[in-house]
Amino acid sequence: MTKRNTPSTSKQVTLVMSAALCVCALILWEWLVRAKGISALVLPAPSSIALTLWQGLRSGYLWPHMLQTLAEWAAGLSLGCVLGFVGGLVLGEVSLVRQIALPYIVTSQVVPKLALAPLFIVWFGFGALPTVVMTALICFFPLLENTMTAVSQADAQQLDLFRMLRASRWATLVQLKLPQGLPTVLTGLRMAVVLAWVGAVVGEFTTASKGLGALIIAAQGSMDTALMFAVLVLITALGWVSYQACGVFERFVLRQTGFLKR
Amino acid sequence: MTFIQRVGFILLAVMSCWGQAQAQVQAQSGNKTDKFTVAGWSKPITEITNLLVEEDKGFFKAKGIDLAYAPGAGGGDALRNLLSGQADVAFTDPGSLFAALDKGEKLRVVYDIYPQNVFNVVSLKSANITKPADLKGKRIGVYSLSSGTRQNLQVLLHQAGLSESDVTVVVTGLLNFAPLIQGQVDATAATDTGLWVGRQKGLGEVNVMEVKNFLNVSSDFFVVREDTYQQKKDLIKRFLQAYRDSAKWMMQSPQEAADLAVKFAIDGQNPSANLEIIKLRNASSVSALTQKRGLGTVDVETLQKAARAYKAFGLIQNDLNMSEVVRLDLLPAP
Amino acid sequence: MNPQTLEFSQVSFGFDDWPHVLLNASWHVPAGEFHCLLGRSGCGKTTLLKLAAGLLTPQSGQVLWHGELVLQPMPDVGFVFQTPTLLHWLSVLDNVLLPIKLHRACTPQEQQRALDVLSQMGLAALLHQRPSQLSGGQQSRVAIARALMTEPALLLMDEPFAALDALTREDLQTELRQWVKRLGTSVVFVTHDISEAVFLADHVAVMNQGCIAQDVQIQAPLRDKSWRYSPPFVQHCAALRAALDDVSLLA
Repeated sequence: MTKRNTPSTSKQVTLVMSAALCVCALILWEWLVRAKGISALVLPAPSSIALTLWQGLRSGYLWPHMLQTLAEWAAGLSLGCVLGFVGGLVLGEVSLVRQIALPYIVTSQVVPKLALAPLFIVWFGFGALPTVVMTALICFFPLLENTMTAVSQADAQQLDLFRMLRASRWATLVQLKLPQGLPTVLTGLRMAVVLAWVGAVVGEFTTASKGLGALIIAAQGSMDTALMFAVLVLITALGWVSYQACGVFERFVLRQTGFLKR
Repeated sequence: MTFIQRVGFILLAVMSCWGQAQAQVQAQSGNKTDKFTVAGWSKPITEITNLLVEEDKGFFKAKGIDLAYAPGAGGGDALRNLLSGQADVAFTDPGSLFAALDKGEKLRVVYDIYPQNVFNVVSLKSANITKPADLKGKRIGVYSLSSGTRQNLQVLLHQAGLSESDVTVVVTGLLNFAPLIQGQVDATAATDTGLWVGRQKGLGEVNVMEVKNFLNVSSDFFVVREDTYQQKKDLIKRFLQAYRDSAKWMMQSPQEAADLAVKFAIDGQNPSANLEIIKLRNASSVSALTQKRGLGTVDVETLQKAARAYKAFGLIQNDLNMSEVVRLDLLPAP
Repeated sequence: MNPQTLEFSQVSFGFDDWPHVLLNASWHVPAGEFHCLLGRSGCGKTTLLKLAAGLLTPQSGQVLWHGELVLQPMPDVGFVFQTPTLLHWLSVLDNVLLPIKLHRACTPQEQQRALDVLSQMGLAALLHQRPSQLSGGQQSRVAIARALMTEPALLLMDEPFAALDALTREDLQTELRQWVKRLGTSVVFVTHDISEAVFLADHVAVMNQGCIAQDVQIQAPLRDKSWRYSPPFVQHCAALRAALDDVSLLA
């Protein structure tokens, strides 16, 4: 009997292989920690990390921090998306503005944001605002760059069509360039979604009393490395879920706009 | 166009909801109480539980104060936040205080939070470091370059005629015992509470040099700006009274404080660990002087000695007159 | 009011790397006639068409549309490109309505007209499909429908059937003739295919060395399948072939 290698079978197989690799790595890690007697301060065992995570979730300890970081992530991402998208449109369309502004924008990306944290405290005080601003600052750039690129992706023939139809500059931007560049913009969004987590967590290191980033610092202070790892696992999970959700949204939009076959 | 419009409306809705929520929070804080922000040297941790339990205990509300806490990474951070106007009082260590005064900042010391010096330098027994002179040429970890651990390490070094250039200072962050266990540093500058936690996590046999055996200068003070001192004397008085009440409560009811720390402190998950840390801090909050003249009384002489020592060690350039800086008139009666 | 004629008067145009695409070209397209512009690939036919469209401006000479200088695309001139250039995020119906919807909401009459045009082309069932779901021939029809939507007085077409298979091409040629004759639209149709030119055109302008070298009038009783294989058809093809090969023919 011949084996039929249908596409769904091979996808299942790769999924199983991927999961198996993860499990093997965890088993190896657990064995290493126990066999070598590595201190929990240095490298906690996966079992203790899992236990800490479970206890933290069950006792309600972790939820307020998760919600805090989630809220900052959402707000920072929204702000960053608006800045990135609108900025990308303006810089893509008006070359004079692009020539003037782009060096400063690139500089803002090169400067390490963590170094700006004390300044942010002075400007925005404590609480969620400096973290939101830092998140926006970190995640707006991919969307800006990609929107700028997207706006220049309409080909010459499409542009000629719109010229023949005597479309205004605004109509050409909104009804040709943006829809045509939509996949590129959505790619930028996907990058921003992931980077926003970095911004939210890192922003909390210095400026926050609540949230997953603040928790990492606190876990260091109480030398609870297992808690630190547990929080990292949590951040990873949140980041991964939001990335997948963004992918689902992206595919939905691209199907609706005819970039992907239904 | 409709897609973009939709996205735009959603974003506007999110931003306006956020703005409304912020406005509501501000409205709720009301204007019957005065807002007073403490700039701390850490995140809201168990050590300062008495500052965190306002919601349940209301020590500061009872004195008409709406207390806020601003986190930091070291005493230097706390002072910087004070000087930039982000806070009304700083919870900071003498080293950072001297450095700021040396630069000409106008500050006033109004309360001695921990009259005992809680800092130490810890090394593994195998390293055979038993006195400050043994630290020469070694790698030593500190919390941060603006932390009390670094300042007090310098005191210890200068006691032995050494300076920072004779050792290698490594910033380890708060997880400072891991590098010690790993052997990446030969010794680490820490605090009594840090050492206790480290011991729980399997630190093993260590040698501890306590800075209080060499120069028992206080660990932390409440410091205000000169202008606040001149203009808001009554407010500072009420704050200090409330703080003293909260500190007394923590000393009288440590178990209750330990249980509340589970809720309010970011690192307070384990009540029995909280209890030990609170007990350590309670012990460092009292001295012979405070027994006599009330919690918070500043020992100006020792502080002046410390300032002279700092000048002698070259850590500051100018002579500081601590009797001018310290102001005890706002301390509540014992 | 000048009649709807397209006029090229001593037009010269060139690019940096190709200075004499057009050299003192003169040409006249009267109203209601189907003119083919025939020439080898790369002889500058598309450039001439773009000058007629107002997408390019001449470096010397004038392009006139009903007596007025053409400096930008005119409202009563339509263009069909080499590839259908449909917007793949819009349905077929929305693509056809694009010339109107770009500027304002479309009226029910205009919507009905679009439906009628698409029905005549046999595309009624595909109204709400996306262009990617259509065959090449169907996409070309939609592109033509879009151009005819505004009932232009002049239709400029740049080798629109070049990428299609022979059978579809022949069907579309027949249909196109019917549509434009019904509407009375003037057409300038660029092609390098001699039999296509002879089938479609009232006049075939042979382009060579940057100008219109020869104009051949094609008269046919009926433009249908029988016309394609009739002796006059074959003769015209041979004559045009000779004209294309003859390098000595200059303006």
